Amino acid sequence: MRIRVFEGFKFKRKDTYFYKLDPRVKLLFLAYSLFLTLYFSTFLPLLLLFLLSLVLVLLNRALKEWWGTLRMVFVLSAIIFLLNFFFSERGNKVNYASAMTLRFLTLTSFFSLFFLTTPPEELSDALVLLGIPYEYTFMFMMAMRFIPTLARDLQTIIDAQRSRGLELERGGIFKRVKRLIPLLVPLIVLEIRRSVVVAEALEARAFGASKRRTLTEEYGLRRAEYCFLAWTTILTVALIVLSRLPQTASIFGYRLPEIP
Amino acid sequence: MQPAIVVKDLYFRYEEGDYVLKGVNLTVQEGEVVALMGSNGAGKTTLIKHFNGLLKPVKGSVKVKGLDTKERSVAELSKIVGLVFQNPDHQLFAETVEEELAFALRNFGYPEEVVRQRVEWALTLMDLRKYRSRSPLSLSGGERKRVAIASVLCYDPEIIVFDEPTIGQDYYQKQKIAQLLKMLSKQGKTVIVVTHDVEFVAENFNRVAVMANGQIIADGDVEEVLTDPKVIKEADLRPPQITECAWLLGDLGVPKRIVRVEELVEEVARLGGLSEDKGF
Repeated sequence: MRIRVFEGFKFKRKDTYFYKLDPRVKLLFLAYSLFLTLYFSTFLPLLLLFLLSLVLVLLNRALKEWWGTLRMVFVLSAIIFLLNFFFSERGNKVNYASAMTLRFLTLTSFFSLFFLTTPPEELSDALVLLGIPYEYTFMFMMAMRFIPTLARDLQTIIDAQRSRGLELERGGIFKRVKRLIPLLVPLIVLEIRRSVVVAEALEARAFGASKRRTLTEEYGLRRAEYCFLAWTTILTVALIVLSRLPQTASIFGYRLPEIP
Repeated sequence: MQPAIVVKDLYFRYEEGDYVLKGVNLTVQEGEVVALMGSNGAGKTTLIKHFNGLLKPVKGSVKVKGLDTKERSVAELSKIVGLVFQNPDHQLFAETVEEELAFALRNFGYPEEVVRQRVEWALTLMDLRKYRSRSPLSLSGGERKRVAIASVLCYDPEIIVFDEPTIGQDYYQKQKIAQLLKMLSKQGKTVIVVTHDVEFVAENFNRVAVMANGQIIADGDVEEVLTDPKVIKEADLRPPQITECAWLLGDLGVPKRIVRVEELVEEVARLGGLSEDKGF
């Protein structure tokens, strides 16, 4: 039993375009792409958005890590598809269910792209620059920072309890749920203990002593960033305007052929 | 006699990445007590996780009492090989110490009668009787460690593997652990101890295997391995202090293969022409 869900959210620095962008710009891009993904609800535009994210991932040579994340959400995607297929009231069920599934995958893809190319420190800096109080951004950063640690702890706990004869794969659903107790109790206790230690270490280093904090890194927007901002803004606005124009409505209202 | 553990040309790597173990060979006879040393990342913990099948070989084989770990479940193998993890906080969860010890026994399906007896035995063994109805989570670090050890010893596995048992233990508790190892050895158990504590090894072990870069680079008598400058350098170890003393005194004619205090004292006494009748 190995845990891999979080691989896609782990940061590894590479020397490509996205990695070097200002985190604020990337954050805005994430906002644009999330807005677009939620704005469109038909298959074709969502497919375009998905492909856009894929192209960006490819350009930034992050395909392997990205694939790691996407692979993990396939089961969830299947569930989303089935639920929408069976319980939606809309006209074409295949059409609607596949669009919703694709929407979920596209969201995951954009999030993954963002987290793969943005170290948590930069994200926190970006939030500070946008005016969010440091305490909150710090909390957020710590939470991100501890995801891999948590995954590693859970792995060790699973190993330790299996060594004491805990069999996770066997038995009915109730027995399985009951078997989570030996895994969750140590995990929660361990993390609470750890957070107390972290809090003490922070206070020992005068956390919160000054209201205004300066950043070690200086952020300024370069030409490349203005260009990026320009084209993403134009693209976003254009897509929305296009979808509103009557003559293209048929293209963006594209539907899969009806099943007889 | 069948060896307790036979590791043959073992290669292992996690899903993605380089090999962590690169051709490990190790045979541990029944009843042997072996220390496993090596710097961080040498592959010690990865190796011992193969002993009860938590990890399966990518290449090569691991046999525990003749059973191939590839063909057996972790639960099956754990009954034979007890693995005591480094950090007790990774396993303690029950409401009382008693329940904690009973966990493994119940998983292995022992009848309640036996469970009660074994728990009683392990509580006494690890000096935990007075904590029996306390929550293991409310105990101190050293006590939690003892509960973790007891929770494995209680089901009486034939082979016991300790990962860093002496970490964070004071001198007294360390002595207790040394005593425990001696007792287990007398009972005929096979014991493997992963540790960084070179003094602890020098004082309590006869055989030591040293790992570096995913391989076993030395395996043999403590006197031989821990006093071999090549091994020490390659594995990034530090020789026991007594050995370092002996090396410094080398010019005076003290032999280099010394790992225990009494041996050095004897040598120094011999050099000085002192003996017991002179009040030494």
